[in-house]
Amino acid sequence: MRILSRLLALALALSLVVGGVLVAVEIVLAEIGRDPWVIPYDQWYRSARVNAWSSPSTRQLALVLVAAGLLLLLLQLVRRRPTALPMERGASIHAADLNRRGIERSLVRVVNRVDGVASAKAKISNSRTRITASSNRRIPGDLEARVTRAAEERMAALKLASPPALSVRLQSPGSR
Amino acid sequence: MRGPDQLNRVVLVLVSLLLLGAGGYALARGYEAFGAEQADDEVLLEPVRDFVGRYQTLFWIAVLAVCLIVAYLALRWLVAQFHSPRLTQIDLTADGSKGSTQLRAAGASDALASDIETYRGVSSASARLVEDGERPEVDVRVDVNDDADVPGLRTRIEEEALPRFSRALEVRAVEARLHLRLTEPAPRLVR
Repeated sequence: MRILSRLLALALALSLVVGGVLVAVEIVLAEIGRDPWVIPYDQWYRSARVNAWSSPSTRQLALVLVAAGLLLLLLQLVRRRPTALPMERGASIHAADLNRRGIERSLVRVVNRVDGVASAKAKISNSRTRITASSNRRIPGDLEARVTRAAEERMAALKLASPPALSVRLQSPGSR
Repeated sequence: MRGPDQLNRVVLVLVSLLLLGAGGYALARGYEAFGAEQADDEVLLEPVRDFVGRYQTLFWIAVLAVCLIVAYLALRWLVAQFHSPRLTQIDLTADGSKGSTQLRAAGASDALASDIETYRGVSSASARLVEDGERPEVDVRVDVNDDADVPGLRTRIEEEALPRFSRALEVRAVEARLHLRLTEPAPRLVR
């Protein structure tokens, strides 16, 4: 989502630079009596004189504007996952944070080391850390509790300012 | 949020509101929200044509100026996508001195990064000065081995590396933003 926003920003900024300069050039050219160079403003003028607000082409254009605006707005309002989580400030005068992906990978490594876990995934959002562990054991016993304990210990050791609440899900042959 | 993300978000929200406003108004007018007569008006309204006709020269000069301002601001926005703030020189000239002493900022920040890289548990580090003055600001990125004591390492950076860096810059203190990233644990050597 962040990459898409950057690409959109790049495209829009480039269009505004080119568009702004082109309009300025067209104004100067028109002033010295030259025909339109790139922007067919004479056709646009005629169309704006001929078409009414209720004409299908005007409504279609308005619909496109509304759809584009809505899409862009929704894209910006979507809550993104944090890139980094702030660490406890404590007595420190400097701000510090820990990269989110690094923490997720660290949690996966920790959970994978728990006896009985075959594979694990970790995903941190704004308010929650979700860990999904898979086991080949038919009777997992206290495996979920051990996975939770390992993940909690790891998160506690990182001294995050507000660690996202942990939720652990265990998938085993018995639970499927 | 890092880099230009915050700026992008603000500008894109403004643009989306502009599109929604223009499109919404045109749709409302086209679907007779302001009356049937208004919906049948031509898009280029008579008062607008009259206004442009009356102040033709002034109007087009204003449009030209606005276009150039928009193009300039957009260019700065474009540059911001690729550029992050970074100092190139630090002024170390003492008060009352006749000469001037300049320190290459990259040299100082590279020294800080190299210092941090010697710490146990650090796989790599980079630093860049983002602001000069009484209390310079430095952005430090450190890749930390997963098995390292992260809070301990942070304390060591704050209590050893940063004060050393401050002394090198001849300032009382620097303001640092530490960005730590956990990486694979260091490989264990077997002899």
